[in-house]
Amino acid sequence: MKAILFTQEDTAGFIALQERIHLHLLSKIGVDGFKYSGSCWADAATAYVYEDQLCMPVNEYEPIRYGYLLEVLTQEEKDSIVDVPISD
Amino acid sequence: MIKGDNILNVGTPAGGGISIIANDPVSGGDTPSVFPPVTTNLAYHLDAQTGIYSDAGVTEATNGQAIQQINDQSGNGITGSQTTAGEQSTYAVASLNGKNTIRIETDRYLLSPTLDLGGQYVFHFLYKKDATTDKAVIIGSGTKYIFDNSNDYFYGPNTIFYNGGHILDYSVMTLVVDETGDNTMSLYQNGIKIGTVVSNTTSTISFDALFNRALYTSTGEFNIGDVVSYSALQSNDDMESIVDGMNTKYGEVYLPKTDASTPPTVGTTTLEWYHNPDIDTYSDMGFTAATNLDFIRGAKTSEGAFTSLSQDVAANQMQFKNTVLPNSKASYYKGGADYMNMSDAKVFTASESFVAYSVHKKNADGTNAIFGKLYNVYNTIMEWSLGRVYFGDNGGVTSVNVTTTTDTVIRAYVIDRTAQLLRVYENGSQVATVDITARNQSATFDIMFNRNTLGNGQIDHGITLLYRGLHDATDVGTVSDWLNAYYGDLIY
Repeated sequence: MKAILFTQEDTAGFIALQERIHLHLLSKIGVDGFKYSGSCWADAATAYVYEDQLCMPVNEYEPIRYGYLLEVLTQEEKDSIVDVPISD
Repeated sequence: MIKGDNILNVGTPAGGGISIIANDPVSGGDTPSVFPPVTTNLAYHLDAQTGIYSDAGVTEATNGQAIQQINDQSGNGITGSQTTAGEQSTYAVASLNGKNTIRIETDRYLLSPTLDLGGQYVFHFLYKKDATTDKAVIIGSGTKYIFDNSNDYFYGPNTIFYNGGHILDYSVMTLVVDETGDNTMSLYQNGIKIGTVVSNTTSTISFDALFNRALYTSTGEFNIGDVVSYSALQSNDDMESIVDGMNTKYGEVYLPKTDASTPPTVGTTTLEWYHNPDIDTYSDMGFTAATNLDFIRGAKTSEGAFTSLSQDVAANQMQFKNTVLPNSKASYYKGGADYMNMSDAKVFTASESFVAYSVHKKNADGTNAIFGKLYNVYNTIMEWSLGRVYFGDNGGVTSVNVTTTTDTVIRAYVIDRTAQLLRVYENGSQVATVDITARNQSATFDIMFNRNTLGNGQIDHGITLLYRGLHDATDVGTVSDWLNAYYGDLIY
């Protein structure tokens, strides 16, 4: 999956970014019929941990939501998106 | 005086007098006309339709009037009163589908006697607040309250639900407190579980006031309908009956549950879980049926009362589709690390056989699961990469290779604890078996469609069934044929 990674100590950074995404998606409700029903974008408590880092999913498979999501990311954050392999 | 919902004066009979008949309750629905339909352990009932007074219990309030007294309808005689004009709520007659609600701003009512509850109790209540910034206290005791705060938090008396608050559409809420049993508190909206949190304060509680708490400068603006409280835990059947009854009473603030096609009954096995994407799937918490490509917030399952699926974390929400599976049937699409939380965990002991059925279509060889357990990589039934099918109990996993396919298939996973075998069937025919002697522990499933949120494969899920007990090959054929028929006999 595509994700932005945070150290496990940086839950504040994780929460801050997910809130930015969440609030932006909330603001888009109703735009061209856009629906959004999340209580948050991502949850640090249930985040997948890859190589000791928290993964914030940046889902690219749904283009409308992905497009809105990219609107709130800085170029540095966009550049930090990585493919996270899933193992057994 | 004769009172009742179904009493009819049919006129004056010959010879004078009056003739009255009592009709049977209206048929055709599951919800009784009398609310609440469950009176066992009923401790308190605020009925917004009656017992609302503009004075000390003599004059029923009218629309827009300040309310001085609120009488309990449970029979326990708990009276809420407020004589200070500035702290009185107003009566909002016919404000919700013709039904009355109480309009609260900075108001509160002291309860006498107090509503005293032990370590196990249940509240059901209907309300909505005006805005996320409002603080809506339903009932409280000192520093403990049932409270939709302005900060995304919903407070139970002894714990907090993060992301549980902000009820901005009229909803029927249920709060289940079990502090002397499993030390938890569970919150539901419209019969869909929001979540369960730890609440391990074992004590009695005396609720002494309705609504806002001046002590904490709560200034919420909200409307409330009925509040019912029970002094013991309730069965799912009872909770569904009460919640659906309140929904009916208030003109259906959420979509009523739909009857589903019934899967086969197989011997003495019991159908424990039945998820059908075609019905009761919502883009929110029960108000709006999901349409193609909507992300799924909540769903109700079709076997057993008061069971549901939910996902409030947007990045983990699945997508509803109706263009993938045969016969124009719906699916839940997992595009990444998505999953749904089950309202009730399904636990199978180390000696219990069980069978899961899954209709699904993989987009490609990938990492997927039918059932899993949050925060645990073992307890699972997985459709993993390279065609491997896994069964995991609480101690580990065992896998077997099955030819992978991107066709829509009906898979059956038979966990035979007697023969110590996992048998995998595809479209009614056995395609793999593996020894599971090493799987000698119990198995618990509390999420659907992923394994500890790890599987990243892309897959569309149709109907999923979970039976407790053992199915032989003939049984698997029977259930598979039923599923195939549901999909228009187009799977095989």
